[in-house]
Amino acid sequence: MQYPLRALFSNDILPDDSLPCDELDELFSQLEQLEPPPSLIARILSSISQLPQPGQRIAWGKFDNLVVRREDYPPC
Amino acid sequence: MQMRERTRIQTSEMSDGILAQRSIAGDQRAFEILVQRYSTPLFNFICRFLSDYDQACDILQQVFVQLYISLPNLRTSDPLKAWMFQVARNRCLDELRRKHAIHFSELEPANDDDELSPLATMPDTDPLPEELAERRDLQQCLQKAIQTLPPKFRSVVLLRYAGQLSFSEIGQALDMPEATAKTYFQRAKPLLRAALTA
Repeated sequence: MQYPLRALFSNDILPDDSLPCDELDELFSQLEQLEPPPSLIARILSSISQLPQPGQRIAWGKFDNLVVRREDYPPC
Repeated sequence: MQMRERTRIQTSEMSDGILAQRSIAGDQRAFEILVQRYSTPLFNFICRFLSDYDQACDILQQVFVQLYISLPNLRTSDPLKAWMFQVARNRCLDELRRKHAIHFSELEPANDDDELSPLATMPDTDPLPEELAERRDLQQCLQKAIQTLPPKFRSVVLLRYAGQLSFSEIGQALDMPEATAKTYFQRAKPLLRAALTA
């Protein structure tokens, strides 16, 4: 089944749902953004690159129901 | 050269949905952009949730690996951003449960002034002129105030202030109506005020 792209991960098209800002929001807007170390980003990307492509799993999964399983046969 | 630069800019401006589709199709650069787009707000949220910098690094990695593995199965109308924060929060809760093996309500921090969180005691390698010291004090106060909140309020407040999520996204991440997220946020505010003035 195909899904329209917009239905998938329908990100960031959300109405403005904010509440009026007060002094507390102002104060907490000063909360520092903690940055991940650059080496961590490199590590994440490296570990991802070692995984099989997600698309490949889909492609094979589509044909899974066509596989005839013969449990009584030895593996070839 | 210009063409390559234009392509790079166009890719970095793509929506999460398009980037996810391209990642599924094997475009590693698209996934890299998703990582760059969300690593800081996610890390900020995780770090403040756990008050543990090293653990936040591990959990951030787990979130992105889980995203990559789950991409083909994310056939929902939920926004990717909210999904990632939901995973991050669940991982944090698992970690807290694993670490403490106690009831959730006991995860409230002790009101012991001598015992600062690991986040608060992180060494500051910069020199400490008065302004820097003030700024550091403010950061500690804000973090401490958030930590005094009951868990259900704390999640909403952290998603809002540390994750920069809209209430709609918070609702999706926490599996609650948007109105409830707003109500929790509003109820948390007097508690934060009290903690800051205590």
